[in-house]
Formats: sequence, C-alpha cells, structure tokens
Amino acid sequence: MSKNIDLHVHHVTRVEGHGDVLLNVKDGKVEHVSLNIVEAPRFFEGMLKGRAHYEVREIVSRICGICACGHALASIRASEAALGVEPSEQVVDLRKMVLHGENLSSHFLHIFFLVAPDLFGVKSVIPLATSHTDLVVRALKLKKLGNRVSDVIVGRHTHPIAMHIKGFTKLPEKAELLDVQKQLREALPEVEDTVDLIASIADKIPNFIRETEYVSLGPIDGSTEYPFYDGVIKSSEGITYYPEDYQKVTNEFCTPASTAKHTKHKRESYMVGALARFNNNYDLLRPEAKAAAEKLGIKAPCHNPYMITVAQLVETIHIMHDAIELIDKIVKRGIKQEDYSYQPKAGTGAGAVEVPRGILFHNYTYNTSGRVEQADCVIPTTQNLENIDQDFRKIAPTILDKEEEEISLLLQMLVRAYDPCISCSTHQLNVRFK
Amino acid sequence: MGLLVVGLGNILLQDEGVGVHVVNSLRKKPLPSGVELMDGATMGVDLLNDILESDKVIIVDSAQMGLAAGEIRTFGISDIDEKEFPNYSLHDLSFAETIALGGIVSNLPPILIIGIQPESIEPGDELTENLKKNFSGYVDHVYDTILDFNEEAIN
Repeated sequence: MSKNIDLHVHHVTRVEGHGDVLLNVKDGKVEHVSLNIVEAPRFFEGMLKGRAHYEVREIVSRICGICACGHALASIRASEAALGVEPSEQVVDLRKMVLHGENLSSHFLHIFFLVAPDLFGVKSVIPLATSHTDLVVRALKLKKLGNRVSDVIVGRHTHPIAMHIKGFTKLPEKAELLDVQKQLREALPEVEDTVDLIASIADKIPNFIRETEYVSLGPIDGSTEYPFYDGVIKSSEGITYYPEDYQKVTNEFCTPASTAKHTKHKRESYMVGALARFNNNYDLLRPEAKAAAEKLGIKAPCHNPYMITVAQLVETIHIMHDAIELIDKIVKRGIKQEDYSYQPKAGTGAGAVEVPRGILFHNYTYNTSGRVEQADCVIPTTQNLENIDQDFRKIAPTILDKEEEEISLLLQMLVRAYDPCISCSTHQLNVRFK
Repeated sequence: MGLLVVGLGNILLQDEGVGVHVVNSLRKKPLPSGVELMDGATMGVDLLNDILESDKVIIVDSAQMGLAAGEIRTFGISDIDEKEFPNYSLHDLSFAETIALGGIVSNLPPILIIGIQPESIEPGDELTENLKKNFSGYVDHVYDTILDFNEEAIN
C-alpha cells in the first residue's frame, strides 16, 4: 500500500477547549500522529502566590466551569492537610454529596451531548435534538438534577460559595436534602432506560484494545467505599501512594507538540478517569452499578478507551444510589451547626479527589501567616494526554485502509471519549453581526 | 420566574470576567421585583435550564465583536450571523448551540445580549485599565437596560 494522508483536524469539536489532531502517513506508513494542545499555558498557579488560606478555594473554583466543586474540594483538602485541620464526619459526608452532584452532571453532559451524537451518527447534539427530542429533554433534566445536588449544599454549582476549609458557611436544610433524594429516586428509571438504550447501540462503539496503566484513588484503611473523595493513589501496576507523594505518579514532562505537560508512571503512559476508576475499584461498585455494567457489556479490566463513556454511565447508577443512601445517613445523624474556626500555620499539604475526568491533585505550601508560598495543580486531562497519544500510535496503522473522513472521525471519537478539558477554561463569546 | 440577568465569564482571565463583575456590582442597586441577578461564571448548557425557566433574559458577557476594546453593544439573538458564530465560545456547548438547542426542545423567552469588547483575556484577576475606566458606565448601561426591558410587554 502506498497511501499518503495529511490529516489536520483543527479544534476537535465537542471537546472542551482547543485540541488539534495531526496524522501524517507516507507510503502507507504512519510518520506522525498526535493530539496537539494549542491552548496557552496556564498561569493560575502563579495567581495563588501570596493569597490567604481563606481565598484560595474561591480562586481555584473559577479555573473550570464544569469541575468548579472538584477544584474547590482538592484545594480545601490540600489546605487542610497543610494547616492541620480535620473536618467533621458531617462535613465529609456533605462534601461527598457535592462531588456526587458534579460527577453526575458532568457525566450526563458527556454521555448525552458530546458522545451520543457519534453513536447516533449525527454531527452534534442539534440534529439529535430534532430526531431524538425526548432524549435531549431527558438529558437536560438529568443534568439539572446533578447540579441541584451540588446547589443545595454549596449554593451554586458553578460557584460553590458555601464550601470552605473545615466546614460550610451555610448548611443545607433537611427538607432540601429530602427533596433532592426524592428527585434522585424518581430519576433512576430514566437512567436505567438510558443504560438499555446505550446497550442497544453498543455495537457503534469502536472495538480497540490497548492495555495501559490505570491510576485513580483506591480504598484507604480497609474502606469498602468506591472512592471519589478519600483514598490512596492506586495504580493498576500494584502500587499505592499517599496523596502527598502524587509527584511520584505524575512525573510531569514536556513534549514539543503541546503547550500542556504530559505525565507517565510505570509504563509509557497512564489513564485516569471513569474507566481507570472502574478497572481499579470494580469490586467496590454497588450491585446496581455492577448489573448495569453487565447489561452494557463492560468487564473489569477493560482496555478499550472508547468504553470510558460506558464506564461513566455505570458510575452514574452507582452515584445515584450512593447519594440516596448518603442523604439518609446525613438526615438520620441530624444536621448540626458546628464550630468551623481554625488557626492558620505554616505547612505543606496535598489533596487528591476524583473529579469527572479523573484524579485531580492540588498541593500548597503556606507560610506562618497562612499565605500561599507555592501551589501546584495537576489536572486529569494533563495526565491523559500521553495516553491519548499512545492510543493514537497503536490505532492509526490499523485504520489506514479506511476513508480519510472515517479515520478522522475515529481519532476524534477517541479524543472525545477521554472527555478532555483542554482550556480550563475560557468563555469567550464571539460575535459577527449580520 | 421574571427577568433573569446573567453575568458570564471567567474572572481569572482579565476582561473575560467583565460580565460577572458587572452583575455583582448591580447587587448594590435597587431592582424591581422579579429581577434576578446570577453570577453564571463559565456555565455552558446548564444556562439553558435557567433561561427556559425565565420570562425574559439579559446576558452580560465579554464578546469579540470586532469593535474597539471597551465598547459595549446590546443586541438580540437574531442580530447575530449564525454562520459566522464559531463553535468554541462556551465551555461545553457553545452559546450558539445552547440557544439553538433551547429553540428545538422548547420556546425561548426574549433574550438580550450585552457584549463588552475585551482588550485582553490573558490570565489575571483584574480588568484591563481600558475596561476599568469605563466600568461604571457599563453598570449604568446594564441597569438602564434592565429597567427598560423589564417594562416591555412580552408579545
């Protein structure tokens, strides 16, 4: 075969931010394939220097509109580790609810608005809204429910005002939590329906296998909880670390193609996110989620990155059941006003939480007056970039016999499966008048 | 729900966050009942649920409109050339997609957009001097627009 391809997909659509896919084939051989990040480097870490401990979580929650609560929580956990502050059980449970809400909302966005168009063979959610209006209306409703879970506890999902180091400035009312619980129960059949729907079109998901390393939170101290908020860093290579040792996993490095850093651990790359969590912690999923996994035909360990979306759907079932139970626990304990005061001091600490796209690390050093001297944030998308490139290198030679348009679609679908958040996060309105 | 006024943008990217700053400044002013102010930060498709629950909507956002930095302009959805509306504006779905989606699944309420042309959207948590200088003018303009738009009968 002497095929030549010079493919350059500018700004892959339905991906957050700007990423270009490049593929050069000469005489039937792949010369180059990569995802190039064309986003400007981020300076948010520098912006934190000199800031007071009580300001930090507010600033970082503005980095990302989708993971606002996740950034705030990783930040709060890092600050608490540095300042030696212990949150109460009530606070920890409420934070878990906040993460559940955000993960639900983001998963629904990704499943319905960003990936479903590929599975239904349309260009975007707009034609899908015409052909499958009920599905899109359902998606909007479910997404809103995810936000509602966070809103009740932190005030506003995209701007989590009530959540602070050690506690909350305002606690939710019992009636609000019970209302959220009722809505979650009512929505479960719709998510179960979605499982059946995706199971019925699962043959549209490309079958591509590449075994890689999976990194996520893992259970700590014999916990039986599928970990989103608390845990050790777990690698599928059989190694665990405490959150403060996150740099032993991330080992950030630069590549010529990208303005974003890449990471690697024991293999040439590793994956974070829903599939990494599913593979590492399958045993800890609730039985309802395991049943959904069986329907969807996904088994741990699954080495097909296109199945990340399917793992997300399994997680939504887990999260909804877990949130319903967690509300029972919080309400039964009785919502109590607590003392949320603390004294700042010098120290260094790391926080690791599972946000929609994978494990997120924040690490801060505070001086004696409680101001930031050094800050480091490693986002999930940074950790997945090298894994995407490695997937590209394996899949590209196997699809060269296809039409260029199909090659382009398969590579773009692969990028979208990772749900990358490249911009973190601009919001520019671009207008040309008629 | 009555008139929803949303300030959009990322306040960590200088002028990108001007919409949020303007809406937060409006909190100090007396507003007619039924007017709700929202710090929308970098909301994407989530905005649609709030839009569909409102009788009227005003969006305040930094906008690349090809004007001089600091200029402000009020316009409607129908004034925008959709073909020229790039697909990468909002964080998840673009604003154009969000609005188009709303029109398909439901009836959109009347929407006014107040765009402010940014000078810089590089990282930084303060507005540029140009926009700072004009800032009280933006707040007054948005305030007057709220009062007028609120009075207008819905057809």
